[in-house]
Amino acid sequence: MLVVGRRNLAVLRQETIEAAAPDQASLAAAVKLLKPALWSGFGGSADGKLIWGDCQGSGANPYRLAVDLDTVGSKCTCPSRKFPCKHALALMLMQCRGQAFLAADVPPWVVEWMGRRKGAAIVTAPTNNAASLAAVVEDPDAAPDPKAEARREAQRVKREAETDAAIRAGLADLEGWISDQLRGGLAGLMANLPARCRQVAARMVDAHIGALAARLDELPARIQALPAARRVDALVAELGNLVLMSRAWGDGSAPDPGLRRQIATTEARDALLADPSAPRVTALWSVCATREVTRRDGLVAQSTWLANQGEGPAFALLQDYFPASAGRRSAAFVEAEVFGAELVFFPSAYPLRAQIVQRCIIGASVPQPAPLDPLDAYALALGREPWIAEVPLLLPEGRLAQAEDGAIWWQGRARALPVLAEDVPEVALGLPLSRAAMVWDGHLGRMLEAQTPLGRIGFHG
Amino acid sequence: MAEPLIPLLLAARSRWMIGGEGAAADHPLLAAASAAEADLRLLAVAGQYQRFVQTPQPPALNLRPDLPPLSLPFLPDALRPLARRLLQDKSDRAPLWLAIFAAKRGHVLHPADWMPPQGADLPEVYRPLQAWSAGQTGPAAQLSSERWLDLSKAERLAQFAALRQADPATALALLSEHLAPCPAEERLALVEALAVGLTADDTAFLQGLASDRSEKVRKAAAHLLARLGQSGADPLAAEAAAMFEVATEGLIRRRKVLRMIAKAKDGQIRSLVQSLPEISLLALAEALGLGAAEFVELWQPDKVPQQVQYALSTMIARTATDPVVAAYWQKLMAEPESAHASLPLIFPRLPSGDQKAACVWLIAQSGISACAEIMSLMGASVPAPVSAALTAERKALVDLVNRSREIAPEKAASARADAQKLANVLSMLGLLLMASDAALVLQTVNGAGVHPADPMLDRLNFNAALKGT
Repeated sequence: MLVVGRRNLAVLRQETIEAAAPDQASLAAAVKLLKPALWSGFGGSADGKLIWGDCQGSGANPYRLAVDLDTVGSKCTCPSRKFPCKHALALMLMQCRGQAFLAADVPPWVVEWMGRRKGAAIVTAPTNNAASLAAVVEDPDAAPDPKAEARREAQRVKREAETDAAIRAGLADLEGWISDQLRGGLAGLMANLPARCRQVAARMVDAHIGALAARLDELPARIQALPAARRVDALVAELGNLVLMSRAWGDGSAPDPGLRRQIATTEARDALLADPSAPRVTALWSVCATREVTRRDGLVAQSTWLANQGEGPAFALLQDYFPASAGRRSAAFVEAEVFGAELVFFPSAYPLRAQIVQRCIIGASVPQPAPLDPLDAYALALGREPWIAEVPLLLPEGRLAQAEDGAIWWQGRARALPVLAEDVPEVALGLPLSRAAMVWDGHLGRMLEAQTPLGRIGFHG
Repeated sequence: MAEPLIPLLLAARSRWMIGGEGAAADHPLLAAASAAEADLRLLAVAGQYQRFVQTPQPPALNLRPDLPPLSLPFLPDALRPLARRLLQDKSDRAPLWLAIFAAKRGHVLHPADWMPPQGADLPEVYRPLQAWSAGQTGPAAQLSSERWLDLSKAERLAQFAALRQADPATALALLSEHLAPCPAEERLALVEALAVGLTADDTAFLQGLASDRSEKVRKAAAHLLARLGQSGADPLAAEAAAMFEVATEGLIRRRKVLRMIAKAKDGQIRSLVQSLPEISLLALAEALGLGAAEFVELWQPDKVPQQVQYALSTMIARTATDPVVAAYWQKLMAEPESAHASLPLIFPRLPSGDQKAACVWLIAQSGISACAEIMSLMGASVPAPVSAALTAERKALVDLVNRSREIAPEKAASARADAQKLANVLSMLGLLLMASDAALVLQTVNGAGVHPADPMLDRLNFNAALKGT
């Protein structure tokens, strides 16, 4: 097997990397990323001019990065405004230090990047910055300061107490708002749903209830995607969920970790990895679908749905948020890609969101059989986490069909479920689906993928 | 006894729609609750009820039949990601060109990657998918008398053109039966479609169109008859003939030539340019006392204004017989500028051998830039000699690569233009060349420093990888 690297020219020199670094801090941060466990998917073009790899950063989806060894140009999907970012510098350092890059076809996302960066100037001349690897290596870690640690801990405890109080007040405010809507009539709320939801969402943001605020902000769009006849029921269901969440939070003394995530914030990666109660599953995962949705609050939600090809939870969701102002990213995965990995799930009564701990080699396994009634999994999820917004379902043999009104339904032997028509390519209506996956919110499904006699079909929402 | 919960929920839902306070109810769920609190508790339960118990019930569903089998295999799986990327380019019929190219190489695009649009002029292999998409059941039937009115105008025309190519006699019989009720625009398009496979068998039908109510249809029929060597007296031809003269030239004045009259005024020339495309070569030649072949033989293309030459080419392309058109093109090639301008008119009338030669001639004239014209003349996937001639010009690509990388600030604009031109040419070549030639071009541009993964090479990479069956 051809290995791109020292034999094929284009080995970066340390001075070149130092010259390319925007500052000393970036170089120092890059050195900390030189841990094999953080990296996967190394590859290089056959001509030795391009290398690429995936780096597991602080998000759930790994960053994808490529380096053009000719021009020392780089591309990374991280949101950093520094160029090159620490991940790109780290990849360069790994190449400089002898990391092997197996020759492979250039992935589509690298090709797209190549097309966009035509005419890029070659950056090999030393710049004025004084970034130096020697300085990084020689700089010892700062010794811990017990007093400062104690001060930080006290501040954290105080901040948490203030946040919990704000959340309690915010949830009481939310319940009051819901009571007002019931008293005033849901017909009126429906007529003015976007404006009213926006107002109450803004109040929830002030109360540090960020996740719930986003859910409220997205509520009108979700309701309006439904057929008119089902909108009121969906609204009742969602308002009921909000009440349930508020009541489950109670005084906030011991909230369910899954609930805290749905109301306020999500744990950081380090905290998750350190949490012994977070379940870990090592399996072969296939990428069902990747989605990138710009939310009303200006954040882009990047979701990767993974299907377990072996035993354990049937699905996992890698979920990240980044500001829309950071620009569009390439998807972190190619749909239908299969990889072995240890995943850590965020603790929850119904674990779904996860992060990749590390990639590993897993032998082929048999996918779990799909239940005859796909809503069995939904019932289980609601039983454990009644406020859950959406649940991925494994669909047994079935078919997509169109109703007179243009709505599209997935039809199995035991049940039929409506699906978002705009996601469904016409070809999917002419094929039996031996197995499929969808995300179900109680009212409407969004198809993720399906296996057909003509192979896998993706539903690109 | 406690009230049952479900009726309570349903009553509350109705009340919530219009608003107002709820009445007290006897249920453990609502124990010791104020009206607002009772509503919140009912709402929480109603949410679960709606989400799980009240799942949507399907209406009558229309199950589409399975996709029809196609006569060619799908693209190999390994090439589908590249094809999907190419299909993202929706400009200038790019997806259709790709579909046509793939079909010529013995494959069809996977329907999950691309569904052929209705009415698009595509190879026959896509017809079953188009029919399925249009809701037609069973195998895609050929155009027939029974199906004539079932199709849209565009579909009818596309199918008629295909039928005319495959079975000219059946197409003629069908047209005789159905032409009259069609609107004028469609009649014109259908009559013009008879140009393919035109034979003396069409004469009687075309003569019958002399009384058609549309002048355009009458004229189209007359032009086709002229191609079959039949032409009536035409006053417009006599008028045009007055602008020409048959004279003798040479030292002893033994060489007969045909030329424009020396004293033609601008107004007369403008009038001639307008009238030539409307008359037939035979009528014009006869008005001058010549045969059509003799007219072409005596014609001197270097001695007339460009616009007259172009109008004459239009006339000949529309009305001359096949051998006369071929002879005219041979003569025209001596005048590259006129020939270049007239080629799109003449090209469809040339026999396949002459078409290839014309493309090679064009490449000799314009170099690698000829690929855009060749694309519009021949479509995707050209014959071997044309592919080879284009490939022989590939050194020009190296110059383009170098010019496009010019970094001097004063040359930035022209470098950008060259980069765009390079991308266009490579993209065009990707759909024109044979697989082995595409590989040669790739080798050349890679050698010049274009990275193999550069997306401007996508079509060439696709071409080189799709060797055909």
